[in-house]
Amino acid sequence: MAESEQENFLSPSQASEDSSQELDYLRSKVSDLSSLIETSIIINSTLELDALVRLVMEKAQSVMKAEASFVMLLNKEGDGLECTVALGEVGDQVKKIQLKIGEGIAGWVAQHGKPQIVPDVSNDPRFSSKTDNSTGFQTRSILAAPLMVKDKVIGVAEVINPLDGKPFDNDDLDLFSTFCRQVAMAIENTRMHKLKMEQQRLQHELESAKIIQESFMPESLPNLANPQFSIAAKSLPAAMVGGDFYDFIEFDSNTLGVAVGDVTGKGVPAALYMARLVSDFRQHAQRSRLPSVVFESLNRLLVERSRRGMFVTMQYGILNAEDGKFVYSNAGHIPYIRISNKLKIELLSGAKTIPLGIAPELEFEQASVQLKKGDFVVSITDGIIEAKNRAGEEYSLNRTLDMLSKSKGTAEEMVESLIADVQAFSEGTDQHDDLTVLAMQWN
Amino acid sequence: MLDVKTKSQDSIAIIEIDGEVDLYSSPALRKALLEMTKAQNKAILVDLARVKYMDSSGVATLVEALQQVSKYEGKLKLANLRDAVKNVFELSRLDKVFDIYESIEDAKKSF
Repeated sequence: MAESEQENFLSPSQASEDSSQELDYLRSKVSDLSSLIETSIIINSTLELDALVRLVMEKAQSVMKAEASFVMLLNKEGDGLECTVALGEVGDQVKKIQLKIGEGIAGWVAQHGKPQIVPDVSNDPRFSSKTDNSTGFQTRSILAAPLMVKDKVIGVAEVINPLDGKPFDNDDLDLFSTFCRQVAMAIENTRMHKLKMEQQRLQHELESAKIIQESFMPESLPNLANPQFSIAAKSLPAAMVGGDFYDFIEFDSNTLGVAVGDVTGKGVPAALYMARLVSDFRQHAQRSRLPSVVFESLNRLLVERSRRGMFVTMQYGILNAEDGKFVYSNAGHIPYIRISNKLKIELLSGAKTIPLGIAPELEFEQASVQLKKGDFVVSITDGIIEAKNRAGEEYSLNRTLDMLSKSKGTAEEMVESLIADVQAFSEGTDQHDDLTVLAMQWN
Repeated sequence: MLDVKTKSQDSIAIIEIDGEVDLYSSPALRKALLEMTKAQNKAILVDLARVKYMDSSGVATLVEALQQVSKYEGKLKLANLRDAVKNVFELSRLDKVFDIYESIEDAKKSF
């Protein structure tokens, strides 16, 4: 296509003898420009990095009329160059070559970020014969240019040995540099695209995780026949699904078990871990009314099937409505908060062990506390105290206690007012973690 | 972005982490740690001096490595925890699970 356009544009018959040299020059410029346009079409249509670099280098090599060419990209550590594409007879062997920054002509160009014409490598002390020695190829002349993105070198491209025997000149250098700018841009675009795809995949995964997670939370609060209990709970998952959960076990009209937990990690693995944990917890909770015994068997199970170091912080307590006794165990979770009706506030810091699912053969304790009529027991997850405002400050445990001590009314009002206060505090920021509050009152 | 560098000093494998360790970045840390535990490195030291923030995904990555080293009776220790990271460990009692040291020198002496 480019060839025929070029013929229409200027034919030899239109030119006088005197200016034929200039015409040749112009014609070659037009051809070069056509190649650049073709290159930009290739770049916009291909996002497979190696294939793309190969296509562009094939074009570059043919326009520069060179015997061989290659592209080397900076390695992850940033201290060396690795060959991405090598064209020419010994291309496959060249692909295995690695150079340190500063080593050889390519290494020099990477280090200084400047293009170079090397008409005769035998006269240039920077030249490294490493590649020639291992491939049997004979390098005579090099044109090398850095691949730059925003003033940073990301790699080097070279064309080697002009086919017409004339050394590379400044025009070649200008043209090749233009090619290299396009190559660099293309590489950067491909990398950005890959990153974006990866982010989209993760986002999709998180959305499915959220659905799994929500399906395992109690759909409603327990319908308590006993007026001595009142209970409320709310969990607001962050966009990136944390793994908070709460659960109720109604043993009988006088005995209520409440659990709150936070599974490590995020996404589908955390959601699946939580789903399985909740069903195991419900099963084990039926076997014993001692929280420490339930934790012991749950811990053993979680350690046995431990994957990727996942674990859960969890607290579980059982309230007896007849006498107001609350028995609890805490595995690495923020302690229960007790609020007495005279607005005395305290942390129930007893019976605290490490989280579940980390170490086998762990002994769990339990503590008990005698509630007074009207007392609240509140459970929160770290999403509450670690919620940040725009200035980057955390909501903190102190603010939580302060807010709880000020709330009056029912368990439901307590839960709602705390969550509303945390949301107001962190307004204008992304919710970073799940927010969960559970409050119960003994009357 | 997370920068993970590894080096070996006095037959201790040291991992230096620079950046925030979260859901997105923890795979880079996991890769480095798994390479070490696969090679059954007996002494692994994680330098957290440049970690300003670590979420539970990051903690889980360290727990996994700890579980791996304990299988071949190796040791994994942490050093130079900033306050924010220390809080994460203390809040969940994980300071009882990991050997945590104030400095690299202290940690190295303890192996």
